[in-house]
Amino acid sequence: MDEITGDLLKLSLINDLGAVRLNNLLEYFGTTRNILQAKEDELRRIPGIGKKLSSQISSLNSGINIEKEIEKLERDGISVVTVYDKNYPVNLKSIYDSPFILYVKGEIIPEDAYAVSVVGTRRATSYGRTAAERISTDLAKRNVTIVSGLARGIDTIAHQSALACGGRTIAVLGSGLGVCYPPENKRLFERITHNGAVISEFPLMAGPEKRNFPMRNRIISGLGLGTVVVEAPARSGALITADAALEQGREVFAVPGSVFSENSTGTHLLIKQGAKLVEDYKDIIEEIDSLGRMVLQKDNAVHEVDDEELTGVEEKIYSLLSLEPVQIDSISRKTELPVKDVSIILMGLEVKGRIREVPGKRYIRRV
Amino acid sequence: MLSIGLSSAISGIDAYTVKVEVDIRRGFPSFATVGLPDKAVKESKERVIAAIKNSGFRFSTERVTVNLAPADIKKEGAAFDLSIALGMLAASGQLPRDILKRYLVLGELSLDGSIRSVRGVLPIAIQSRGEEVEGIIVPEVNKKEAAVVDGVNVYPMKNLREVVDFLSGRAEKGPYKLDVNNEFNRSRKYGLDFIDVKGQDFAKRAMEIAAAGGHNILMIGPPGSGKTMLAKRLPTILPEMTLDESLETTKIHSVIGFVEGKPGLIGTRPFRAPHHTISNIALIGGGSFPRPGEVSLAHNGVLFLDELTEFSHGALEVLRQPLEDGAVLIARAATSVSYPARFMLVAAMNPCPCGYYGDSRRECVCTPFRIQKYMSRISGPLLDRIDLHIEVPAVKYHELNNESTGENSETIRERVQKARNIQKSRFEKSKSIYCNAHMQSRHIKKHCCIDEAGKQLLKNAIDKLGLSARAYDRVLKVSLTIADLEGAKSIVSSHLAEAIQYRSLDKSLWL
Repeated sequence: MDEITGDLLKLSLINDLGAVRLNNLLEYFGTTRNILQAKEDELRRIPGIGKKLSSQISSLNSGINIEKEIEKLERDGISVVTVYDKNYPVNLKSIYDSPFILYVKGEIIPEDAYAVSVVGTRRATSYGRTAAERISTDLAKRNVTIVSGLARGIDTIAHQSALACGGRTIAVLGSGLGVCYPPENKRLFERITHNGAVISEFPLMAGPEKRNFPMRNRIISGLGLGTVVVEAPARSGALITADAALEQGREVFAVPGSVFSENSTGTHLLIKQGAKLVEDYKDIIEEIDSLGRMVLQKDNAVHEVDDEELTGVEEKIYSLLSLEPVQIDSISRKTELPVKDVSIILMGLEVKGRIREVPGKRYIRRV
Repeated sequence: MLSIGLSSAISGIDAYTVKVEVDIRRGFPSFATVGLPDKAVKESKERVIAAIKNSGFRFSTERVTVNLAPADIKKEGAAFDLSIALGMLAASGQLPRDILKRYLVLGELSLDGSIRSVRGVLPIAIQSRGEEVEGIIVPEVNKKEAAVVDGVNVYPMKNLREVVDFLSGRAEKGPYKLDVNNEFNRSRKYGLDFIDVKGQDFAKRAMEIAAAGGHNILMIGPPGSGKTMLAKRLPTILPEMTLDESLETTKIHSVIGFVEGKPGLIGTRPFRAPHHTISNIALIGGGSFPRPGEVSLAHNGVLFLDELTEFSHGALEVLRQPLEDGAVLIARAATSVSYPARFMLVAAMNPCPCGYYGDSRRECVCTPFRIQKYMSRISGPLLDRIDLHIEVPAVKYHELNNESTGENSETIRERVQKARNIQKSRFEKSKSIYCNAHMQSRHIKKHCCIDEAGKQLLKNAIDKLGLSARAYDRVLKVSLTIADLEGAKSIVSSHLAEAIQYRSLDKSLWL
């Protein structure tokens, strides 16, 4: 690890020293080394650096054993990428407050420049889940990397769908990489590190503080060429991500929903403000030229996996289903088949990957 | 003078004979009761004295000692009243003394001399067969309970005067006879029927399978979806009670004293639905004078726990022993008693705190974290003992009118009975196994053989549908029951496919 990385690593341990203030410091002092060696009163001349910060910075030289920290990171298979490194994500570099340092578990490859961020509410409805699944799957199949925040709900679906079709995905955390939040996504976390990367700008053991999340959101939007919002209530982190995307000059897309659902308020607000309404992946690649060209090249290479043949009754039941959930009893009533036969057929269709069960013993088509 | 009479008391669900010895001698007037009496027994002296006087007999103010033998077992309740009163009459020469040894006497006395009902008459009547007595004297209201026991002469009595007239030979009275089979048949009618439930075909099918294999079942659904309605009707599709089962169940209820005024035998499978605020002891049984709890009252029937997540953690954990062993062992410093508790557990709960997760009528307002916390209130070990979990959706109002009603309980019960017959011959040689639900791993290995196609299906379900491996054994058990219902020789993949459908909680739909 080179000197700059080590210095930035030290500086990143200070909670309140964000990208903007660090940038100010660098402009004044030139190098990270100079910052660390500066006197406290000199540091205080920089706008935004107060008594507390300056003493924290000047104490970095003595108090902290950076070698130990680095050793720990290496043991956990975490690499550190700074803004000066070649493999720093290009998309992120071009935003105004790009983080100086990223902790990365997994691998970021140049192709991850073709990325779209998919975000949304943690309390997703089955409609939102299906929409997120369809968009993420279609994009990921076409070699677009799906970026999201590993949160519950839409985020989780976006990551899972990308992984399920063999695509790449990047998760940006609002905590350090040593803390998995939400805890139930531990397995998903691991899977992502093998087919993409889990990244964070926060120190290894930083907790999921409330104030971290808006900062995390700017990285999510910054990594993607565009940000798709699937289901967001009026006050939602997803809207913060969308705002960040606009500030960064990236495209914002919104999936419409029911006018009766609280989960549509946010997305509809975005559409009213000029975000592009999205029905499927085509609406996204149309808007982003570079993505469109890449996808067009690949699209010929993508060969759809042939769906397994359905038997007569299977076809009959499958044709009854749509993206609107249907309850098992009403399937049985409409087909006039005994419910036990229906449940056997539904299980078959589910194993074939054609339909999916949603809570309430209801079924929808898979997309 | 000394008189010795016989009475009886309950320990667990069995009775033991208590000798009631009354000694009256000259001395400073006093009345002492010994033999570890509780408050109710001690107070009996007041009732006995008043009843004797008010029935027109003489009470001599002398030194009275009452001993209840065996002296080292605690005695409770007021059932010795009548026996003590008779003893005093005999000891004071108002009744022949030798006659008391020929009858076992039970009854609580009212101050006017009339006889009130007592608890545990059925087990006492059973136990009296082992004593050399001519019959038992019981309160009038308890006569049917006592008379169902074969070979016991039951003499129901209304008041003290009647008993004395009978014992001293002044009045003739034949034993009370009851046609047991007639009584049993009369009590077998259920007031409910599955035909009352509209729609819910899937849930009904699951109920049928649960009944056929004796599987415990958990229903998850929004408020007003009819979970309670379904549960209440489960006993009506269980196989009809045999006389032996009926006697077992009645015995437990007799100990509690519930049988009063009702038919002498419980011919319908009990349905117990304790409220979720129930204490551990009330659920499982116990207390300083141990009593059977709700699990034992549900013996041979159904224990219904509505709002499962609202039950205290402790109450749910104590359920594990009876679910496993079919009995409850209550150990206390002085005694330990065992109560039978073989029941089907039917539990119901909402899908989330607000109740509307997965409901198409109304949007759920719970955060994922709250839902997860809510679901985690049911512990894994308890869930492991529940073979079927199903979701019961709310039926829309307009559907209520045109929903098909489906079959009546009798039709379903016939199928269930057939499946149970198959299981009966399957487990002929195994002890303590009566139905598929009771199978342990080694039985599953022996009886649940599946072919290659079946194995592939299970593998797919685990890989693709996120079915937890924990579900594996349960799915096999339930498939065997489905095969039995169909009369099939072995499990095929369609049986497995259906069985997987009854494992809602394993499919990780809950986030």
